[in-house]
Amino acid sequence: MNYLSYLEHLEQLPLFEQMGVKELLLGHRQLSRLGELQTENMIFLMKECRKRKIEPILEWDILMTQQVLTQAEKVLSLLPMDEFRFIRVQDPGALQLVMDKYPHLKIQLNLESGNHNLVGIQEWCSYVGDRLERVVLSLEIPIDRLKSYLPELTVPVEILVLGKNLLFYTPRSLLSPLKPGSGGQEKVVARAKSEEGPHKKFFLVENQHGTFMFHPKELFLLESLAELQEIGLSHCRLDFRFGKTLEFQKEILQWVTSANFSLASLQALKEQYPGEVFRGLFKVNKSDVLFPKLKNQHLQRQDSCFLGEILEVEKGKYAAILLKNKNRSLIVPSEIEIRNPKGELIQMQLKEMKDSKWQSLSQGENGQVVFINYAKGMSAQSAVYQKQ
Amino acid sequence: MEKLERFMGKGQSLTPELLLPAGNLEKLKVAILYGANAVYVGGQKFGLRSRADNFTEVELAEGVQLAHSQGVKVYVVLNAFLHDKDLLELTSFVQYLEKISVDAVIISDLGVLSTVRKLSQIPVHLSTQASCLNVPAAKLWKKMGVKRIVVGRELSIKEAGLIKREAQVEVEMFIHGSMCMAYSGNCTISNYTAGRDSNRGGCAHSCRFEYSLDFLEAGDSSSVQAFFMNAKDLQGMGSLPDFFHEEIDSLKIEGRMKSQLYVGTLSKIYSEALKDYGQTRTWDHKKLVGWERELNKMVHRGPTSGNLQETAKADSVNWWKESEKEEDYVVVGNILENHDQDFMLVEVKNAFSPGEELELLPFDGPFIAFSPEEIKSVKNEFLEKTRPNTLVKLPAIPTAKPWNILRKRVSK
Repeated sequence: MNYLSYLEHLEQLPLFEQMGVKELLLGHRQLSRLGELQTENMIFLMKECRKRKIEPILEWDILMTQQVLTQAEKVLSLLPMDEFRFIRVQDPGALQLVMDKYPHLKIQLNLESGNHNLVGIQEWCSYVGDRLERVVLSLEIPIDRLKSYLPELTVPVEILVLGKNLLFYTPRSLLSPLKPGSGGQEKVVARAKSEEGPHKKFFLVENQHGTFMFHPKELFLLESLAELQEIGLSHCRLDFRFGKTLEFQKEILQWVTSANFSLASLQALKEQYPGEVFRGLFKVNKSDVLFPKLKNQHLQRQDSCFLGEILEVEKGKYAAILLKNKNRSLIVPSEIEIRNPKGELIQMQLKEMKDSKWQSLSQGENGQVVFINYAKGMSAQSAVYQKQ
Repeated sequence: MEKLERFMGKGQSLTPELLLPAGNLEKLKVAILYGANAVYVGGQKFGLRSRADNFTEVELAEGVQLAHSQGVKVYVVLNAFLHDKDLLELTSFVQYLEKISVDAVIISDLGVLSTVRKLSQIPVHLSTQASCLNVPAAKLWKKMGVKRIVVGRELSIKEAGLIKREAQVEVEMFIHGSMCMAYSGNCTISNYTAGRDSNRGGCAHSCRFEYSLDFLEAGDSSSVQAFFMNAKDLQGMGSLPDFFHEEIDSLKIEGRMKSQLYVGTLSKIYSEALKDYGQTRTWDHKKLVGWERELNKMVHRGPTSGNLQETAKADSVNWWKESEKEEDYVVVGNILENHDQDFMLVEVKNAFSPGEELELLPFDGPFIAFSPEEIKSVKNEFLEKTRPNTLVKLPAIPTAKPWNILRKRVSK
């Protein structure tokens, strides 16, 4: 198993080198959602990585309007792109631009948003072809599905196993307008508590790219590393950003590289974690379970025998039907079925019918309102069908 | 013959298509009758609005038939981010959509795109859900096989026009309606807080909630309560000339869950504006004010032009819900039949009484204000007040047509 992380400060490098970390993500402040490296510092750190035989990966994961993309291209032109071998992209425009203009770069494609089926992931792999070095998959793919994907993918796969879980990303500045005296501030940080639900301590960051909202708990999947290794996952990302001390980073790296994955010692680490942790959707993703309960199926027309809908009922007297089938008339005499909103079925022999002038009708057409005798169980919104 | 004529003078661009949402068959009919020349609909699955009525397969076939008979196009949304088992179920549905000749499907997922293209010849539009925001992304998606891109709402009209020219692909833009605060497809709040996948139809609108914010700077213990992710609603009527100038192909109105009154009113107002500008190519300010006044009678969270002209600023957020507005009007019914010189048969949706001022929304032309002196039941008994879900007879208005909407002002 390979581990990678983000390089924010030079002082992290000796630790990463000591722990055998082979690659590090470098986030330029103009290209990376949460990266803060200026150009000069980035180039310096890139060179320092190389000295330690650690592969620096240029992270370009912001989403970009055309205007922002144009600015990003200028930033890229100031970087020694020839000295990078790998770039990580997320915006399809960034992907296409890299494919067109930087043919030497191997691409790591971040598919964490909106790629939750194997067919789609394989299509991306096919599109990028042999330039593709890795795919980063979504936290919404639970382990049983991840297990089924890995043998089918011909490139290495990476997932986040530790760190903040991004829930929401907007280009808007949503914190500084509310914070007195924040004008000109490059970064604003806050915690949010919902006033309309039980959820609290969402972590928020606003920077030059917009506003990011994270889950109150951080992702912690280290207990599952043995399982992930067994199913063939090749890369795990450890996100130590936002307040993980060097000492804590060291303890985590020592644990993951120890290879015995002792759960007893992991429990102690978990208790030291600066904040609450959870497994997210890693074990199971049931976020679509509710959907079938949201509609009344009885109100929806089911087949071509549908004739219309009852609009009004006067018990004991009549029911008014709006005929709604362009291809089928209501004829007297005939047999009809009425399905009410409770799903009850009423069979009826139709012997007479009247129009809105109360004149007898033998045939009613689409768009017409007709009146028939009331039968028990009929109600407004009932669907009327020709009996087959 | 297309429902809305696409006027083109010498050297001028076509009038953009007006694309309305249709949450069910009735709203589809209303959208078409009031002037839409395309509608977008959802089946029972695979879309982003699981709480909308949506269409059964039978209703889809009927809707397509009705729309095509009026020269109107139908696009079916398949724009959820599908999981593997969803794709298996998609196969038969796509084949059915081709059989009933839908004009396009709207997708956001590459797995869905691949499945649709393998199984059918149905044209594919890329949903705003995919957040296509720049020229190289548009070129990529065009290579993948999409015919049209519904660009993200973060783009200006000018940027969208550039995408169209550089990528040589059709471009569709939202002109009106609710907006997500997040980049489309980049919000999973309700996945974790409500167990509902926001990108598969279950969004719980967590961005509309009120939050308490504690700022975390050293020495700063300030906090504030606000609806800080609550975007105002887009209203782009004033930018209509720019849509023409940039040759944007289609103008989309959001709202498959909105009411029939909303759909009918917006279809009417925007189609009139498009027709007027398409014919004259001049902006009548008095008419613009009138159209905007009508649009503002509908429920909204405060109108904003969003990013259409320039990057949206702080005033595009409804921080304390101060800009929220209920509808000034409520629908009282639909005309079902008009027996000229005799009576109109009306399906009542909200109660009204004799002498109350009502308005009829004709398909063409100005609203007609009237106060029915008498209201009768279907059995010709005089009524003092109507009840919802009943039928009544009103004195006929000669120009009224079946499916015309009746509305009345809401008393505050």
